[in-house]
Amino acid sequence: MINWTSRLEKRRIDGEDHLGVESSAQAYQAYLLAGVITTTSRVRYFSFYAWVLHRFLQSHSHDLSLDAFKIFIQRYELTFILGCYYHHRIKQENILTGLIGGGTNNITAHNIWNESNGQVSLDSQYLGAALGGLGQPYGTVIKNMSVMDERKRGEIPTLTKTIGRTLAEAFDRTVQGTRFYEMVTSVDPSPATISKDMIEDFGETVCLCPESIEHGEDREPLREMLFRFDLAFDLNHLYVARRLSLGLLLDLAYKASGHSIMNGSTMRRVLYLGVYDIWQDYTPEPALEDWYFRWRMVMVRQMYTNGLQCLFRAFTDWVNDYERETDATFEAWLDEVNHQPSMMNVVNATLDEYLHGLCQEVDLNDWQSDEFGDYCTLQSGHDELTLYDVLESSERKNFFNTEQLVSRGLRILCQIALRSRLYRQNPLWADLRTKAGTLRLPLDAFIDRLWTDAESGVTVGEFLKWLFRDYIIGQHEIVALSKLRYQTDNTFRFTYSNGVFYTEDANYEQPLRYPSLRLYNALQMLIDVGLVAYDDDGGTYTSEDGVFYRARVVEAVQE
Amino acid sequence: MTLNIADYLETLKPHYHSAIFFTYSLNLVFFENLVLPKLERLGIKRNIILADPFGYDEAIATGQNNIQYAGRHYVCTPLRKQESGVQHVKVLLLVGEKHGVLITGSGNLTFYGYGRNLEVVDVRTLELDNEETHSEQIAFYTIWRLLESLMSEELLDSTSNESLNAIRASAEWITNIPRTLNRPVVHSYNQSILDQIDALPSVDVLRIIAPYFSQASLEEIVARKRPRRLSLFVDPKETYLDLDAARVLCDEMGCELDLYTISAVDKSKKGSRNLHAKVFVGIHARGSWCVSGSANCTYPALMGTWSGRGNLELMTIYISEDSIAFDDIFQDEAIQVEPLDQISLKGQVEDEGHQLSDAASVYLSDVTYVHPHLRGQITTDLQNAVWVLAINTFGREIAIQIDAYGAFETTLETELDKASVVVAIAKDANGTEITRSPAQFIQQVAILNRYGSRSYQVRVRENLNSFAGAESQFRELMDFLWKNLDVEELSSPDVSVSHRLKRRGRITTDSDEAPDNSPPSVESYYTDEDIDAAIWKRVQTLNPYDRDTASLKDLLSLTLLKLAAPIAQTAEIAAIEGSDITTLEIYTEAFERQKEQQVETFTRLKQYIIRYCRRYKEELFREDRAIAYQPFMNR
Repeated sequence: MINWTSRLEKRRIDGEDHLGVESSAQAYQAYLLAGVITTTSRVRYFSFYAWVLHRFLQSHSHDLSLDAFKIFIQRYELTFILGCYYHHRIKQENILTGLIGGGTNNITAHNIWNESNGQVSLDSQYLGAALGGLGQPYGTVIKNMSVMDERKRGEIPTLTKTIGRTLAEAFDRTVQGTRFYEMVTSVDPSPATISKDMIEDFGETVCLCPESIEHGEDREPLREMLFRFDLAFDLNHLYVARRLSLGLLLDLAYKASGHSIMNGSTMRRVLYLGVYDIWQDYTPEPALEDWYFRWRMVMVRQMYTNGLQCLFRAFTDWVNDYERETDATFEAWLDEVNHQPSMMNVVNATLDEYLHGLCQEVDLNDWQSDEFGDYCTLQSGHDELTLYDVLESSERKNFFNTEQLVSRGLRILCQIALRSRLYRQNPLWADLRTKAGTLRLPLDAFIDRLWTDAESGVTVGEFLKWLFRDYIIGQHEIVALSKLRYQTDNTFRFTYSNGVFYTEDANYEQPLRYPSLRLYNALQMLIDVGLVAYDDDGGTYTSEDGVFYRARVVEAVQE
Repeated sequence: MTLNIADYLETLKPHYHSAIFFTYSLNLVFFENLVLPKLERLGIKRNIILADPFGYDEAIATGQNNIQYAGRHYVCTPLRKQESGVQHVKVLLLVGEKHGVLITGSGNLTFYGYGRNLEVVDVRTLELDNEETHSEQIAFYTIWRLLESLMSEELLDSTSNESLNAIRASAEWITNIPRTLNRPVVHSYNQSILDQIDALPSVDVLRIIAPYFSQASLEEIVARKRPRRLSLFVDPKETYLDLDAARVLCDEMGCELDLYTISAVDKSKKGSRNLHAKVFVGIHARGSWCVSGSANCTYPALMGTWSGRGNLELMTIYISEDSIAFDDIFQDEAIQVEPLDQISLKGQVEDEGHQLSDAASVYLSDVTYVHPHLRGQITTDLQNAVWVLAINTFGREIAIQIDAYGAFETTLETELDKASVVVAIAKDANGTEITRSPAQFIQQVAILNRYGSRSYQVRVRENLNSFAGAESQFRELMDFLWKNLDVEELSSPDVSVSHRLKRRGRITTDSDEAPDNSPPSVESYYTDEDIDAAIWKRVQTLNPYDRDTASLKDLLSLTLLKLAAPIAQTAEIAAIEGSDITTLEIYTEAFERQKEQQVETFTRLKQYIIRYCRRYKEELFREDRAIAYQPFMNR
């Protein structure tokens, strides 16, 4: 019988990474920093959750069901969150970041606290996920840190005998003497209500901040959990890889000389250009050079993502433009690009001429030289970071257009290729490709195509045509179809039918922003355990213990 | 009631070995991502796509570097024609040894055709073991005859011919001449659609849903069917209808003209849904009829023939003695119908603007590759040209010699390892390009053959990629278990329960004692890091395909593993894929989505298992089975 057809997609979500290029840098970061993701940056959660599970096992042996554990962990976690909230409230310091379940600016904790009088109900809803923060987002990373593992679906997790239990027992010793501890060990292991005084007392001892951790028995085990010096040097071991990334962070802080590497621009400069600023270079310890190179590749891949993001933004803005008089065909788009005032000369030039021009701007005569990086420095003002930063800040002011996006996007991509000429000679260049799994739009393929076309007399206009067709439009289609296939979500920003592009959401604007870098989260963990600290001017430095740990990492490599 | 072809494919059982598509426009990236995996799950080994050159060329132009499997996992061929007219049929035919599914409609093999436009679709199924479905065989036979006509006219390339011959050999039923003379499916290969529906009665009311109209065909159908009322259902934004001419026509013919808009009810969702359906419903005093499918209300669609200067179209016909039998189409909850008073419609066009392009004077066809040999055929009038081939996955051009018939053969130094398209370029003696052919997929015959004989495990691997697939795999395994219930073993009085379980590999201990059901001790919740890491690493690194699928037990375990997989891990991947992992909200959203999918799957499986148990219970109470089970049940 005749039926009407229904939509293929089950729901519409905005999503990001519409070209699917960012995920490979993310996957590589997962190798470089196992157990650290961008939503988990407070290290004490590892000892806290280990302790909660340990307490549950010790006090609840009559009922080890998941349902019982859910109630148990919720009550302990709410006590913990409110304790941390109160600890910073009384100190009138900046808001404590990374507090799971606290909401933006810890608003949930604030409301629960203020709505309670002397007593606080620990059955208040504060987080949607089952098992609270141990479900999401710490559920996966706590396994990657070897603290816990899943037993079976529907059962409570298990605690690892060495790392997990050591952390739990250290945390247990830390909180001994608090009134909350007295209550759960002597009166009621899972109280439904406790007094605010008890929470205040508990928060003072267990807060996530470095000041509290400094006095905790769990600080040392947490350091050992992060660095895993018990393991022999083997780069295939994820925990050794993490140790080296943390060692690199200690080295960056050690040589920062008053710069704050927690600052996004500084960290990116150090990784991408090898400078803290125009006056200070960064040179890694020889033992960490390879590891530094690996993180540089993450930045290269992220800059490549940014260049493509500019072109994608330009195209989607154009498709979204309802005031456009023509049908949104590919030819009409190319026409739009080619007739931008500053593009008219560029598109007719050959790639060879274009690349030559880029090099000349930084006083380099030969675009086939390996020295582009030496000339195109931060000081030149033409480096890719600066080019992108200008666009990013223009976006904040809502002040840019197709011309800027296309010309800067193309320039960033071409300069990455010129800069990478030297990097590609390093055998480690292939590491990202090997470790990150399937690479969408491999940078190597882009660079090879650029060189081939430049040597064949292809014009910039023809190159842009290929770039938009295969790397922007075609790639978006395949990524959106892939998400539709696996997640049944419609993430299309535009669709194509019979030669015409149609917008899916005319109001959408592809944001221009740097992809996330897990080093910041790892750095926060190092600050929490007292290996890195801030000076009075906000500069980052390595503490005395940090210097010792840095030396241990370097020593382990040398051995 | 609505139907989605992609979802429908998920509901089918793996009874099919071949799929044949007809389409006008074509998006192969869509096909490879959203349709091909579902076909693989069904165990389909041969896929043929017959497309109009417009769709074929466009698919290559827009997606050639993202197309992975053309010429390797499926054959895609353009149906070229010298006169005007296009291949406009939209069909999906699934063929198995004893089963068939025929899906016809108005939607092309594109994202819009399968899941965005407002299209109509008709599904017919055939099971040789189910006599009630035998009346549908004529529809399958009609399509097969059409394919044979295309083969006999040498309109298909050799790879498609070979695949079709193989399909015929493994599904002989499709060539059996049906007893009935009623033809529920008609096509315009050598007789126009209008002529073939001429026998349908004249009507009081004629309702037409279509995006494209031409005055000539409107006049003809009104003249033949003599309606007193003509109702046209259009999408004012995307309709090609000369309204003034239609009014004049109705005045002359003495019939009233009504105009309606049709739009999707879900228009609040983002992304437009254009009306692309083509339906003709006639209502008379003694009943009604409905003709729907690919043909617009245009001259080349309704009045032309493929062998003449018209389109190749295909329509299905339903006839009822009930005058309101097809009212549901206009009252469906998925659509909204509103009267249209004043409209500004676009001008009249003959069809969807796709006449034969005369731009190309050179055609490349039948390009096959079996390493290292590349063979093909160039159709050209050019004399004394120098010919080269440009393959998109090769860095350089390849010089070739063509014989007097345009045939060529060359060898490739490097083996093709992905889908590839080739273009023939004619140059003069100075090396200046004269002309070039449209691009053509290279049919990689050896790879296609290997794909055609691939193992069961490929399908299992595809199934384990998603919850829906795992659900289908689970059902299949349970059904397999059901069919292979070992009554003899169950009824053997000499074999204890644990012995039987051991024989089947369900218990591996030497002890015959019953399993200990007491809860685990607290100490068992403290685990050794090394063992834990080893298990974790194994599960993470093993590809399902590489895992041991030799035994049913393992296979079922794998399926259950997928169904019960912890979502935390996959949510992280989803968040990474979406890349916005800077906020917990997105992270949690991905997690919640996966969780919902899993819960939905579990709910369906719960119902399935309840039915399964009921069936099992009924089986136990069957007299013959009861006798067989008796010794076992007495213990």
